[in-house]
Amino acid sequence: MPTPTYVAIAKTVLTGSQASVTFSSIPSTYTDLVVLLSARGSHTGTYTQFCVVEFNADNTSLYSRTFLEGDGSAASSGRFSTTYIINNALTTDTATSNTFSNMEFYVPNYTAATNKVLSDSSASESNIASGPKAEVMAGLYRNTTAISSIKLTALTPALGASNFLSGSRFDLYGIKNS
Amino acid sequence: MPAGATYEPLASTTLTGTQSTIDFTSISGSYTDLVISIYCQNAAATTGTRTGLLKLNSDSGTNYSYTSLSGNGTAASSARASSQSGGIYYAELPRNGNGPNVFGFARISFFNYAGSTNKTILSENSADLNGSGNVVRIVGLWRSTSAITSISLIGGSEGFASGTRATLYGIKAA
Repeated sequence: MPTPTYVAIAKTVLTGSQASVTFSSIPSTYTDLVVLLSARGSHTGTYTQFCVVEFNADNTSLYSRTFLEGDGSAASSGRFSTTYIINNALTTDTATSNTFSNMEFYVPNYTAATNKVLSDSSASESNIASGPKAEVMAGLYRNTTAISSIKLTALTPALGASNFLSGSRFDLYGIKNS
Repeated sequence: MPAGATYEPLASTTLTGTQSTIDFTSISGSYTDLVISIYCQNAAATTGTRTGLLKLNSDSGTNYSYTSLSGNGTAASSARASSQSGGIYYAELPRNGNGPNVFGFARISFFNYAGSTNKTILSENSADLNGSGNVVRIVGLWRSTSAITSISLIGGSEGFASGTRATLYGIKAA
């Protein structure tokens, strides 16, 4: 039987509300990591909210991102340097019921002694005239330490506390290059 | 009967010095799609990025075209180039002058690469430089009905920097 090279490492499916999900003790035996989310946040009032990413429990000012997004009316781009990487395409509890956003976070070369890159493609579509978003993003974590944990947290657009709702699913995969 | 591997690494290269191109040759036709993941840096000592192009089957004819959607942190934009001979645009490559540890990434998908129709690609490129940089999505077309048997990634005018790593995967349908 062939050796698997795209390996499911861990998964979390929420049965209740939860502020964050952490994948810890990530083995260093892969080349790249992929995190897939099907998630919905508890915020109300807007149609998308933040899903933020932190590596190795580090919340210092080592993160930056450049994003490109479309909201059904216009495309725009922006940039932030902060204490985590922000994704702004988490579907909220204002959106059509039973609707979850989809996100892919690709982290290449996560054990290398160089800075870490996060490549994100996300969609929050809920059959509403305006508000949902398609977003792609380039993230940078300026740290040369291998990534051993990834924390995903739901925040409101005002950076206040929030939750991922029941039914949200988080999968971590490892990819090998040989 | 257990299923075979459906996402199979075919070749991988990690550079230990500057190199102008990364070439994958003699690609088997036994897969459905191909994917290249490249963690990349251009060797220029200046800041910013260099444009990366790729060629297929060593073709230097005017058979390449592409459409890009880009964000540079200030504005979104789109561009198109037709009947190109230099290859398909696949990435903005961070230059070494941004810092030796600052790399970008692209995942490039080649769909139905062994089919007898023209070939399409999709590149997902991330190159954030903490205060500058780009995020880009590119669709490319190679107007050839030949199966893709070789892919040449060009590292910009100064070439790829040491530490650049590229892996070619083959994906099988059921």
